[in-house]
Amino acid sequence: MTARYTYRLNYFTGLIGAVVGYLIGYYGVLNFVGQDFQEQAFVIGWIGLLLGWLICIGALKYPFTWALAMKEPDHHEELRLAGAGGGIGRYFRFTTDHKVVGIQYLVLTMIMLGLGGIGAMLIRAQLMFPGANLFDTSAYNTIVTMHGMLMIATMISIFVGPFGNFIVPIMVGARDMAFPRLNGLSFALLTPAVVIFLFIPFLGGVETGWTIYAPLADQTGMGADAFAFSMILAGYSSMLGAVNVIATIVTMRAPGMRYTRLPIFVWGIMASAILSAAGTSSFAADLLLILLDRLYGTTFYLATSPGGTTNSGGGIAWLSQNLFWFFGHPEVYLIVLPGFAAVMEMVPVFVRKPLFGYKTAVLGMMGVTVVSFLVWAHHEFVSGWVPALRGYYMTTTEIISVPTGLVFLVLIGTLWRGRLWMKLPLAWSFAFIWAFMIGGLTGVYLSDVPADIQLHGSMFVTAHFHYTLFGGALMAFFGAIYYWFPKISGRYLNEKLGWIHFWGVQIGFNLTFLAMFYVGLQGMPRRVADYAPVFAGGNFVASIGAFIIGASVAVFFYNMVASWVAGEVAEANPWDSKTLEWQVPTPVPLENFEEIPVITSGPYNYGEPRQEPPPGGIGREEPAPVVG
Amino acid sequence: MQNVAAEPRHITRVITFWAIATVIGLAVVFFLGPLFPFPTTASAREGDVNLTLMVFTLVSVPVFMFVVVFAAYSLINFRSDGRPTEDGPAVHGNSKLQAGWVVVSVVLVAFLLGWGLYYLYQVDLVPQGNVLVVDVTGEQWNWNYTYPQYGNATTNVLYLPVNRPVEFRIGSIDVQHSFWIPSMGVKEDAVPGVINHIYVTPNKMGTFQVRCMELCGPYHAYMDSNVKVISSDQFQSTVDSLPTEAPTLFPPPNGSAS
Repeated sequence: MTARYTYRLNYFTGLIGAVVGYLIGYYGVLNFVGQDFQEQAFVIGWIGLLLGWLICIGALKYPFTWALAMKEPDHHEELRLAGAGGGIGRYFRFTTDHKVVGIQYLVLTMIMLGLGGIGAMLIRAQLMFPGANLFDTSAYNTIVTMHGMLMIATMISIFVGPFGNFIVPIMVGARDMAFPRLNGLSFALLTPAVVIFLFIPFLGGVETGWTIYAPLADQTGMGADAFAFSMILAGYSSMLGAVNVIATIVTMRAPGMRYTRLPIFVWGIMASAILSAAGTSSFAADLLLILLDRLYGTTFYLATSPGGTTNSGGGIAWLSQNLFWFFGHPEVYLIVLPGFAAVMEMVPVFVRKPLFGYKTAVLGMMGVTVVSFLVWAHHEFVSGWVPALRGYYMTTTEIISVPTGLVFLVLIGTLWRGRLWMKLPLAWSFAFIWAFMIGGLTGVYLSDVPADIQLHGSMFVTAHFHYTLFGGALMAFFGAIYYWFPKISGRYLNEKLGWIHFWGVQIGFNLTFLAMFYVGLQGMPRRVADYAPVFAGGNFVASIGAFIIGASVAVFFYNMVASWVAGEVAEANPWDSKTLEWQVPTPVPLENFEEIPVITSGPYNYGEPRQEPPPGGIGREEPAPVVG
Repeated sequence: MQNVAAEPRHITRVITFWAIATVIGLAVVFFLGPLFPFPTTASAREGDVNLTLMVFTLVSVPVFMFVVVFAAYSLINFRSDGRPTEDGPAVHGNSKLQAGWVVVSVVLVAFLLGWGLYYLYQVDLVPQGNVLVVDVTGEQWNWNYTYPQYGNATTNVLYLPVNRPVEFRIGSIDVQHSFWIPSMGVKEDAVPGVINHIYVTPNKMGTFQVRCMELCGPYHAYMDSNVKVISSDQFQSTVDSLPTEAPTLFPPPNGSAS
């Protein structure tokens, strides 16, 4: 707040830099290369936008000063970068404090969720009655693509972003992430990715669905360039965030925080980060090949080169499916694993019992992590790609249900004979059990090759993955936000609005997607702008349900904003939880802990004799002699 | 309340509820499942799919009911009135139960897998004998059918003789499509540069739908056509009356003299 800080680079200067960079890149190509290179001009413009943004928010300052062998930042300088004394302004610039980055992620993912949700409302409005009443089919296809990709990008970030940043370092007893500047950078990459993604409707759309299969991707509008470029950026953001999270969990744990004493949520985030770090590059490669095919006339995915004879291209569309799903299937587990973990984290707190089978839960999640890389081609059962391997992919896909099923055992075992305190996080955990149960069981139908040949690409699949992703990740997120919001914002979310949100989503969600199972079994394809009258009843119900979800989530957004501004002020540990993030004061001080705690027991020792915290320390129990 | 939760009879009661719920669930699925408005079944293959859906649903019912009944029982019986004043029992796990759970999951998965592999083998069997070859070409946004054994007769309405095995050879001239006959349980992508195969024997006369299942551009939603399954006499006369067109994507079929 002093005069010194008023000159610091922030998002406003970043915005100016982005606009200038974009204009330089775009008009530079058009003026100096040629007017015919419209498509290339956009891409160079986006590179300019990205660089202008990164430079003008100051994200690249330290790499430059380091490379030029200028003064290394001292601790004071690092604290300043983390926002010490920065007041509210620290939320509007490049910063390294994991808590600020977490809140930035929370706001951005909520904006993305809102945009994706608007897409969902438009889709259901179009499909409410047969006859393509609202949009022409091209506009509809673009909306489907944007809804799908935005929601997937949101779900990828919705745990690792807000909670992975804000909560996990405190949970493991660290003062910040392992690489704070990298953390700032991964958020700084996601913002321009979202902005560039929103170019899509103005560039002729992209009519491929989020799977962006070639060769349709080569043929569709220039929106495909925006799609590919922005999602490569988002992918890098996700990968950088993931390696940072892994490094933090592995190296920054407090003394005594053994792997068997990690809160289960940390394990979930770690599993998700492993998937992200290892899988996302495949998506980036897929998109890069699409960009090259589109911009420079390569034929990675084209069997026939433009204007050539059959097979003169030498490329193959199957490669697009393989690269996409090699990322795409681990990615759905990367989305739901933090959801599993968040629910397993919350249930013990609200039933006042230890987690049932902690090691089983960890092994289950790690098992899912490993096996999820071996199942991707179950998305290609009808593609004709190596039919002989379908039996293998069916096997791995069904095997993955064993570690996944362990989650239910852990949850049921934890609930059994607990003291259930029916607050919203527990209510959402029950909703998770219901929804993910249905999502998981319907997944078994789809793993069976002959049944999948019939159901593949139908609304049944759409309903199935909404039950897993909405039911598994988003419902867990809603529970988690009611749980952690008091720590993040220092205020409670309004409980009355919270229950309206809860019941609205339950009713709307089950109406929508049970109806979708119904029309899918009747034979309705997904991603269609119009449908035969035989499917009218189910679609009408699905649309009504979707509007109920939309209204309830609007209530939730209102609740978040209103509670953040004027909600009831929260105590430091309102749920009487035992994990570390609840032992620090609210608001959490800049470096989290005055003194790094020493951990002497697991995070769920409910039902055991209480031990008073040591005088002056904030460890869960008496400090061991050695303090790191 | 706390004393109630400590009673040993909970396990007996919840298992009883589970058994009742399972029996009711099985009965509902078994008796009401066949009333579901699936697409008309016009091949043995589609009949197998519907059987699979039924069997998997029956297997799912006990699993589903287990989770739902235990969760609901906990919700009703162990619910605390407001903030709990004391903690629950310090149970960290039960290794026998955990091992048992894994064993049961593995057994269920093994059953589903055996079932799936058997029917996968069935659907992949190449039919012997008098196989009708139909070349299916996807293009934005039409299906074209050619009969290479009948002088490359070409049509936009798929005519098939009843009870004769069919080999579809599927290709695309532009982007990926997916050829689906819901009533026959047949679906295979049309991938440019590739010829895919799928087999079926229609066993019911009538008119059925063909739909495109892979988003293929602006008019994807309207990329459908009809299948008419007719008697072999009618088929012969229909095919004879169709125009012919030289093949582009597909090689001559084996044994094209048939």
